[in-house]
Amino acid sequence: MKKKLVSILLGAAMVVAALGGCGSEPTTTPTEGTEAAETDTTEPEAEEDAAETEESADTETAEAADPADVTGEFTYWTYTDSANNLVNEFNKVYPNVNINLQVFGGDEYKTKILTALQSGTDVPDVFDLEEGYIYEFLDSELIADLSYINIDEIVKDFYGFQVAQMKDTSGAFKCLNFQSSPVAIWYLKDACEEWLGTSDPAEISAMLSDWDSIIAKGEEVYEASGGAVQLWPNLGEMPKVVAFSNDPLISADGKMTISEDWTNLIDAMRTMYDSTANAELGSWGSEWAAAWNEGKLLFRVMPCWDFFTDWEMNKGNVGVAAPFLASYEGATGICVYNNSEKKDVAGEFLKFVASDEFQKINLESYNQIPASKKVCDELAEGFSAEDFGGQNILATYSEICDKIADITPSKYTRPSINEFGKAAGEGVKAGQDNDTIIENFKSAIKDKYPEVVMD
Amino acid sequence: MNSKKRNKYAYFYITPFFIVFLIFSLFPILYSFVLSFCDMDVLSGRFTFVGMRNYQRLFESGYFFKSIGNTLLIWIMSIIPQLSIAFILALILSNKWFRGRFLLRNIYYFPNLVTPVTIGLLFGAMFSYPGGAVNNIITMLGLEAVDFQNNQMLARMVIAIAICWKNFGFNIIYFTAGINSISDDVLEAAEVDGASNWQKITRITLPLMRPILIYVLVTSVIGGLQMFDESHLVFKSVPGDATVTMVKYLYDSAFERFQFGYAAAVAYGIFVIIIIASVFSLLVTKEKKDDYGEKKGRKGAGK
Amino acid sequence: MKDKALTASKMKKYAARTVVYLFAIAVAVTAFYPFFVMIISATHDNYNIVAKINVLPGNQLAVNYARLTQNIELYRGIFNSVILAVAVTAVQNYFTAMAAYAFSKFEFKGRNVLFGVVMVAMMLPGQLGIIGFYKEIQALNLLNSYFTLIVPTIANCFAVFFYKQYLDGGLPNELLEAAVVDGCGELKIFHRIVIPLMVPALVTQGVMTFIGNWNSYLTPLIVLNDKKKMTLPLMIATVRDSTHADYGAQYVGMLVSVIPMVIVFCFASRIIMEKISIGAAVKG
Repeated sequence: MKKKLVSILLGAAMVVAALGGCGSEPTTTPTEGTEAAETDTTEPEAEEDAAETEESADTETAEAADPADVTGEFTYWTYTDSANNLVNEFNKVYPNVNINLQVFGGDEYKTKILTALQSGTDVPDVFDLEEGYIYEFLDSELIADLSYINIDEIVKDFYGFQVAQMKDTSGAFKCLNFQSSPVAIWYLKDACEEWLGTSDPAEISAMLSDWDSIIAKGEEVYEASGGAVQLWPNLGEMPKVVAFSNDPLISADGKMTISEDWTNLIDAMRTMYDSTANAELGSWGSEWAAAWNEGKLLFRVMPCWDFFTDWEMNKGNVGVAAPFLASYEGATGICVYNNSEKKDVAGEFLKFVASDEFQKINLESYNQIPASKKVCDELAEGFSAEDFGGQNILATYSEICDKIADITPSKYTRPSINEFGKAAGEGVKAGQDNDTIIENFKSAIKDKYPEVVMD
Repeated sequence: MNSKKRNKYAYFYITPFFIVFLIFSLFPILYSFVLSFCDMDVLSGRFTFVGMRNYQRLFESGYFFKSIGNTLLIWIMSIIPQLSIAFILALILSNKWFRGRFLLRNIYYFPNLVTPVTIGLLFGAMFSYPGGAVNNIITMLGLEAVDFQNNQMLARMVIAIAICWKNFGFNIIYFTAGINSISDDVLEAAEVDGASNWQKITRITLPLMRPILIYVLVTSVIGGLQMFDESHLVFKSVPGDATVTMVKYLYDSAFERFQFGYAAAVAYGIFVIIIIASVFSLLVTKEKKDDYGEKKGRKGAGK
Repeated sequence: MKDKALTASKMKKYAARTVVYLFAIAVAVTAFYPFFVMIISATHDNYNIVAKINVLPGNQLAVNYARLTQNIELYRGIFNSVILAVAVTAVQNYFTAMAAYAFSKFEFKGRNVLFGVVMVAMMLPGQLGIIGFYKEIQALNLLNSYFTLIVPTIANCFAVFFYKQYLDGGLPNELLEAAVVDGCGELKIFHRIVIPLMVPALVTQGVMTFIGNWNSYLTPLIVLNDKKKMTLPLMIATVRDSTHADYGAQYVGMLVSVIPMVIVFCFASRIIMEKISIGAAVKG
């Protein structure tokens, strides 16, 4: 009875073709495909010719310079819907590679990928990992060392911090980050015009050269507006600005060092909390979003994606400025399964995603900041964003990306920053001194990562 | 009933259940028991035996003991209103004169149909500071807005309200099933004898519902102490981790920090606490077994 | 005089009933609130959902729906979820009722020990078992199969416990003894007498099973790899990840997924509410 139901269901399931649109091409056997793809790869086909695609369709040369010759298939797992864009763009250039893309949404994607990798069955050939947990995974030998596709050559034009992010603790390239998510200060032009006297991103950045000047400015604004307008959203957004500029709190081999930069941050948070500059509206809350959109809160610290802007009200009125320290948030890394039989064709996919060509498409069609410095700088020339009132946001982002330190994170990096921000925020609000705050931070780390060595 | 010959059929009845239970439930349980004495490499899944180290870490973890306290506090704050509201409403809906009970009971059950993610979003927004729906009402009454998330006890209370709100409809169903298993004759006979409504409830309904009441109480202990979703989803961060429950601590150890061996030890720590609480709740219900009548009724209603 | 006393007591009765109604309706309003939010939110864009308290519907429903269905086959998801939920509900409740019947009405060796095992198994938090479970089904070659999502659900200890409690209180032994005396076969007793008398309990627990299964996310996520087998919650989750939560599309998805449950629940509710009086069958 049950079996019958299942088979009926499966029968019905056959009807629908695979996702991706261009589903008419017959797929050759994977082995053939990988052989064809296994070439001395010197082809960033940026200036590829449409006519070329046609003619060499039947030439089975080892020199598969033509993307249409690359055949094969592989499985690609991700947690984000936007991977469909990658696959669609890839298939426009490589029509004969069939990617079986599976989107597993929600927070438990990592559990799914983890169980699959542990058991070694039904493991995808290519998979995305999110910044939050990728460094727990990267050291594993189950994730392929990307040197087999000459990764250092491919990403030679990438930002230094992007390249650093792709490495495991031994320095081997284990994943590909193909877009940047720098953290910037978002503001409304009219509000800043009114209270800061300028809406120019460079001038605003210059005005906010350190915490003291931010706080002083904030108090001025509060005073001038009679308490109606505040400059800074909350304490929690302060660590976001400095996250990857200060030295990591815990090194990859598990040693804790709390540099002066971090204690200075606590001091800055305390001053901020005691000042009128701080609105203390919880990030991503409705009050926070509403206050910003109504011009009652001047700044918020955001990565380059956002759905907290009321575009109906503020289209053309939004600006982004570079903070005085640079950081990023919410990166995605693409990994290849080391035991996959389709590593070669998967490599073609990674190469495509890293190529200048796709980096451009990704910005132009999908509004993502390139990971490649070369592409970013090239496109930033004369770039203007309509939503941002013609601001050259790419130039701003490029400026931030240039400043981000080349730190290869470990599994401790992000959690320790979060833990530190939490201890500092709570401690400052409770009126604790720095020593108590640091003690609290240490005891939280000790409970969560007992192996960490503290002095 | 007592014929020995018939009793052998019992094995036939329990066999399918226990076969599945042994294969699909007991195995994972034993697996995590072994795991609790090991460290597991995150991706390869290889075990390294570490003896009692995970349990030692558990005993030394102030954070785990704190999560026990949080869980018990939130549980008590949610279970008392939850069961009493559910019982009162089940009684109300069982009245013949009550119109619209089909509609109302469907609506009462609605919160249970909502996925945990929605509940997290909803309660986070409702209790946000200073402009959430609840604070709007508070300020409308001329009082000062309350920062629920940054007050340990209030944050726990919000979680308790979310749990209570989600589950009361679910308990109404069980209570209704219990009330409906009581014969009309018994209640009619009591009415003929001149029993008041209150007497009917305490002397007849409650005693006759006893098995269901035990079920609801025991599963409330077992399920309630494993609360997780609301703690995980309503507030991102509360001072002093006041809303981190035992299972949330387990989840973070396993799926945020990937320390599966330690998480397995935490799971067994939670297990021991739940056993203690369940035995205690069974003793509470057992105590009343012999004296029928008022005492039992009152206690049952209170829970 | 008599009339007056009667109206006075009647007045009192109606006043009491009004209070009861008001209480019941007040609770209903809070219970309905999330649905209201869900319906209203489904018609707004992301910004309005996160930043405002909306009371009136917006005009973004079609846009949200289009975004939700852009990369998924919603109706296949609904179909898959219905098949699974129905199968699980039937299989689980049949076998757990059977086991509970044995625990409730038979004296056999090991009864207390086995029932103790059932109770204790409920007390272990299940979150961690998922890893062992996955290794096992992988070893048994049961990955990516509906079998794995249906059969293991039989081991629902809560259901066994519930049915046992129900049978302890609601099924008179006299009735079974009478059936045995009449020469009824064992399975016939179970199917013809026990099951019909358990209908309110079966429907009660069945609704729980159905809804629990309808919303279940983690196990299907871990077990299923094939896009064609995906269930509705898995599909809806694709518009949500740690950084890009598309609330508008998500609310439309929730709305779509809640409708079948409301239908199921409304039907089941009638059966639960019907007063099936077990005791009356063997009075005297």
